[in-house]
Amino acid sequence: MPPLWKRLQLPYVAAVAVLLPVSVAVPWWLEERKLAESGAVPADPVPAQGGRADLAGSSWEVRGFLQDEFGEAEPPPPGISLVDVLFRAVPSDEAAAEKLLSCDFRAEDGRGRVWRPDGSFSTRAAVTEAGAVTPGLGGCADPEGEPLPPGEKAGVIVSFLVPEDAVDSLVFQVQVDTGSGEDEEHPRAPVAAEFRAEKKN
Amino acid sequence: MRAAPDPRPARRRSGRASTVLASAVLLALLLGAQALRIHDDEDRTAPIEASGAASEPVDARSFTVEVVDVAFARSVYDESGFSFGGDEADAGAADGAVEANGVWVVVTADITAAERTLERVEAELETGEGTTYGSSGVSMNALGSIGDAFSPGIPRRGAVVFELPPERLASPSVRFNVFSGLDRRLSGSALVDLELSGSELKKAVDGAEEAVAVPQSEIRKA
Repeated sequence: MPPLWKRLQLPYVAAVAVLLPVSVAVPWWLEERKLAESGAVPADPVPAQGGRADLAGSSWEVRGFLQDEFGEAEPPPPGISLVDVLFRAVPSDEAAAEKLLSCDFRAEDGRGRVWRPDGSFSTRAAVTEAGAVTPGLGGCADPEGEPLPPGEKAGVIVSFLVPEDAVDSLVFQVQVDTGSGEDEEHPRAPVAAEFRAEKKN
Repeated sequence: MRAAPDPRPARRRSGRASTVLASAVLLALLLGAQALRIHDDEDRTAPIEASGAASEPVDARSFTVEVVDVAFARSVYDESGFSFGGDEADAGAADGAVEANGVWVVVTADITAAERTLERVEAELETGEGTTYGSSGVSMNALGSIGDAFSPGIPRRGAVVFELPPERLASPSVRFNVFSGLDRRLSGSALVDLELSGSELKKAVDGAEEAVAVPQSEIRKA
């Protein structure tokens, strides 16, 4: 009588056990890489070290965040907080400043909920007088929509409207494209960093 | 001396029978699984629907929707967004009211995204007798207009409007599909029963208001 391992067809079972995960994982990994390169899914953020991170040739530093500084603007309904995150960005050269035109921001809380920036508070006097960059559709640019001057520090203020219970666990993600995305040869290939910020008020 | 009967043929027979049975069961399971397959590509990624009643929030996983008001009107107009001289501005807007070829159904709802920001709303009204009407594009204020964002945990209240022949209404439900970008695949969808039928529905339709303002959507208390 053949041995038990032969009767149970163990070599075949072992082959299926190895090949099945490989046949699922490899196409998944290839597809995920393709989507990440094209920018169709947000880049996997790298945690900032000491509040600083380098992204596509620019250095980013988080300075903290302010909560509910509405100024002269009408406050949102109860239970909703306005969070202004303050960054300092320095593009190392012209190419890096050009790439900052693709900058994008997200705020994520401990429950995995994600918020996009809210532009409705960008005209507050305190924001405009600070001379800070308030990123809009044109990314991180000067008031004329031109790339920021290389080598100079630029203040960046990004505002989010979030439920009050999300504020304490928020982390802030900055994403910048490393490529132009004009064709498949030059994919957007975004990179991202994740910052924890201290409340300043 | 007669040799004892060999037990192996009987065991082999029962072994074969169990193999045949197991194969038959596996084959049946395979056919069953095949029957469950969704063959149409669009259906395979169609919005995943939840259903509920207007008296409660309906959870469609990616968002919740709660119908807070249903109004019937002979004409509708967009409420002005100007806060100064609002009454006069609204009187002007009411002059541009659009009369229904039938009746307008104005459904006001709170929509709250669950985890990701959503921007677009597609609404359909199922009359309850087999007909479905898409929401009208007559109102610039309708939910899901440009600039409307449904952020996680922050309810946004607004209205969707439908124009339809009142005799088609039997027990209306409204389907809300809320998604982001142009991609509706695997998005959430909620079918909300307006809980109106019979004499109650007839009374509401007969008592349709002359003109109803469609308000701009606004975020609400979280």
